[in-house]
Amino acid sequence: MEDSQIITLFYQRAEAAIARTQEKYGALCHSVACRILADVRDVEECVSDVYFRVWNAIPPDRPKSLSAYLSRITRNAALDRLDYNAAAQRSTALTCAFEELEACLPAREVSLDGVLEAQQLRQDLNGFLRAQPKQDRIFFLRRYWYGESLREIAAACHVTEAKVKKSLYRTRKRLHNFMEQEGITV
Amino acid sequence: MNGKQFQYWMHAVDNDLLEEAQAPYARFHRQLWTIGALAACLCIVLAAGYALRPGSPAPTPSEAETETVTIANPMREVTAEEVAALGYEIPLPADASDVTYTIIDGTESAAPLVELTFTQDSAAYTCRALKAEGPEDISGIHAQWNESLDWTVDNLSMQLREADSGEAWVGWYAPAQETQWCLSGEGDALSLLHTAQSIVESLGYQLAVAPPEAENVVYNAFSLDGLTVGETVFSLNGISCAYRMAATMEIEEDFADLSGVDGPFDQADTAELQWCQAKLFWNEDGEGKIIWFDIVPGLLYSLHMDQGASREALLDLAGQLFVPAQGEVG
Repeated sequence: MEDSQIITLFYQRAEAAIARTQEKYGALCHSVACRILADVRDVEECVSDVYFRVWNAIPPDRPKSLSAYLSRITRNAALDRLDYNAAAQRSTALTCAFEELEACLPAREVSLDGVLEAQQLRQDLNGFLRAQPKQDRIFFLRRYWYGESLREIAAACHVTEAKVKKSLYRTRKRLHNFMEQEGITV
Repeated sequence: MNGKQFQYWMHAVDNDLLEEAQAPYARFHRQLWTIGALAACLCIVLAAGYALRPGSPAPTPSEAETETVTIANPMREVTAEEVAALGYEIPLPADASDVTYTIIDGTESAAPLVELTFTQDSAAYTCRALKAEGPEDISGIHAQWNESLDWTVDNLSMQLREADSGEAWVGWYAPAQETQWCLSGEGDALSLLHTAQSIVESLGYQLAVAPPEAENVVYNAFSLDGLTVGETVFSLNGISCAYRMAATMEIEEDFADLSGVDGPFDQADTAELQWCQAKLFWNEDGEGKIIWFDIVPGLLYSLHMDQGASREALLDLAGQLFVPAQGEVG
């Protein structure tokens, strides 16, 4: 079913909207959530919460890309739950991925509160990503947005783990240089 | 920046990049579907196990009914009269067709959100209105906006958003009516702005500033050197003119030139336009511009004529167009 038809179902308040979303994007939501949350029960609750949030948000929301919209909501919901679980100090796929990245992040605190700063940082990030070779960009986002393991990326993209590892290393290095050039590093 | 901040920074990745990363290879989909199917099976097994576990009686129909959560449909199709009765005024373009009116309850505002859909020149539009205490995004469109303009014209707070992925909306907030409007639909932000212009002007506001005898009057908004510029282009007796205005925080004698026309010009002069210092430039062939700065409200202005420009002609037309934001003084 086309995304626009699913959104129409949400607008008609037809319960089939949830079922069709689950059919088409349930796996995606699980995939995003399970890389952020360690416990399968957390993942299940998170994904249920996503459907509830989407049901309450559409309408009035009218997403153009349902997959990106659901990915964002799932990631938000999972990060919320991760914060909630922080006391348990659980390590997850995404937190492990971020440990790799910390070496190339600027040491000073960057405020994400100011609207202008946040907008500038967003432009910087997307500008950097768009400047990368497509395959490197896909590997980077799969690793650091979706939290996939090297093995998962390699299998999904039909390449070796070594190639993914090398690409991520190069991209992290370029990110470090980019941040230095843009003055958002030490 | 620490890892946590980076997580939130990464949240700003554009939708099209996320989509690209999600589905570049067919085999990836199959794996996801397998995981999804396994997860679904697991859910069914867990649910069945829970329902059939010893000592757990099956819910009676009344219990099952009690556990069902029903969320009322927030959408109601209504008539234009019902929309007007709620205090909303949404004048449609004269050639609008296929108009539908819907009320959406459940917003944070005390009043419901009103949505109209209509077609104009084969393009579909959605216009929304909401009673609000200040400007807000009621578009319902989520995107990473690469163009984000906010400016004020004729007591209206205007907003324009456009994303690389093609989504766009134009909004305006009228403090007098405490209402936020928003127009989205097919086409880019500027074509939406042109459609919005007719609605805004039907509401009694004046976006475009042009002499009464001007023709082909079109209002634009765009970003120039970090400033949000409102522009009216029009024809006057065969002369193409562009009148621009932008707010600035800079207070410098050598103020910015909004015209976007660098010249070169044969003639240059200075003059006073009401109390504002103005700079004039023109050529023998008739092209010219005048720029001026009203320092108290912090507004920059420019007027460009493609022909017929002279010192007198530039000052005369600028004098007709310039309406000081603070009203007449003295």
